[in-house]
Amino acid sequence: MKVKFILNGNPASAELGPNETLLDCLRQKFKLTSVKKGCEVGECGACTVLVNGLPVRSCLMLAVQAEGSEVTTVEGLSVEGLHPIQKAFLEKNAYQCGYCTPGMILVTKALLDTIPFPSPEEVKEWLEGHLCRCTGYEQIIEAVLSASKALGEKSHNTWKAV
Amino acid sequence: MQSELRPLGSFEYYAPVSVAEVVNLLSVFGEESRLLAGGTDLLPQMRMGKQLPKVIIDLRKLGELRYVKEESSLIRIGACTTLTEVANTRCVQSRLPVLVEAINQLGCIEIRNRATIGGNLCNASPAADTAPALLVLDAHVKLVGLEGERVVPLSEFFLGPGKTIMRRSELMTEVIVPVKEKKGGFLKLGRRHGFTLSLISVSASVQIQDGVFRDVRVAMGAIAPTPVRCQQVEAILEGEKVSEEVIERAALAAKEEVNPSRETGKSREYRRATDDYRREMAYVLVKRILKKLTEVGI
Repeated sequence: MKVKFILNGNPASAELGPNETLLDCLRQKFKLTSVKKGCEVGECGACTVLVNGLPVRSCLMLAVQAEGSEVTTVEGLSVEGLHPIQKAFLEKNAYQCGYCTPGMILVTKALLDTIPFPSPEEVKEWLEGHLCRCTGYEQIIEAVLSASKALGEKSHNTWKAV
Repeated sequence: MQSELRPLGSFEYYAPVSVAEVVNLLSVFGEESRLLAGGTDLLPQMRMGKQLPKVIIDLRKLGELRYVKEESSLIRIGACTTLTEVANTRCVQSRLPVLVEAINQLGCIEIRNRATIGGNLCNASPAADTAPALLVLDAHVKLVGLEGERVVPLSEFFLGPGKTIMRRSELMTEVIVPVKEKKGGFLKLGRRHGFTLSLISVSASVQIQDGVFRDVRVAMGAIAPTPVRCQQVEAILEGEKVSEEVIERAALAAKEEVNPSRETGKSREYRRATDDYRREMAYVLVKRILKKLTEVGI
């Protein structure tokens, strides 16, 4: 079956069987290897992508279910150089092996689009579904708060749709 | 996880556009088919070999089952509405806060963005987090199948782990929740605070009239083969003056609801908590929730 959707802002289509997950489709057919395969049952968060702006587990979606949707991976964030969220993660050393990082970055994008200036508690709530075995999470939370500040300063001249 | 992950097997795939089509497909394929809503239970179960459907009926095109409708004394929620959508709806936040409290402790953001309220109920895990809240809210569910439509109380819906009263050709279309002016709460205990399967959950909904417990509902999850209303606990509280003493008696009675002989036939090592622990925690959580709702001892 043919699946058509918008991938990182561009029209995309793939020929696949119904039993291919969105995770495998993105990694294998579109070579978007930022999307990681971790637990494959929705518990670790490494496979997280944005579908219509919402963070979801790509390991728990059949690719065919993405028909007509907008799918965003980290590759779609760094279109004009690094996104401020990516810069914040770098500056705050919010990664070591980097495996959880794409998922962390995408959920951060969704968080800051919804709550521009989250409290540390809100950051922890939103990132609850993401496991990191390396950092101990502190630097990740700092990176999210720092990114929110950077994006806030950047948007002083623009109206953002709610 | 106990079992090896297997790849998703092959299956026939349908994405019907109407409830009637779903019913027809279910009646044709019967036991070999499974409905796919959010996929957050079905797909992991397929990977672990617990469900191996030959046919998958995807509900993603049933926009008609995705809604929250407010009426004067009740709220109707389409079964395919995602948990995030339910919890973010203003009338649900103001009129059914105990449901929002339960949803916000279920899974994590990513799961709630795909999981549906109907799916959480139809998957019928004894630990399903929306169930205790919906039970104390006296929710009903609408089921549609070949024989037509029926509305059943949620308290009669669950039969056992993964088992419900639904017939082969039926799907759940709506969750109907009466709205009352009552105080409610939901607490769960898991291995950690965030994104954890409930080892035990408690929900309560009460009216305090002139310092007396009225219209008491208490329900627990993960302590029996199904989510259960705790009728002994309710009986102790109903009509009694709010006091530390009656709360203590009710909390002790909650221990009786944890019935080891009623647990599923899993051997010791697969149980996620011991019976004794669950009994102790039943006491703790019921006491905690009643104190919170009545502000006794605070």
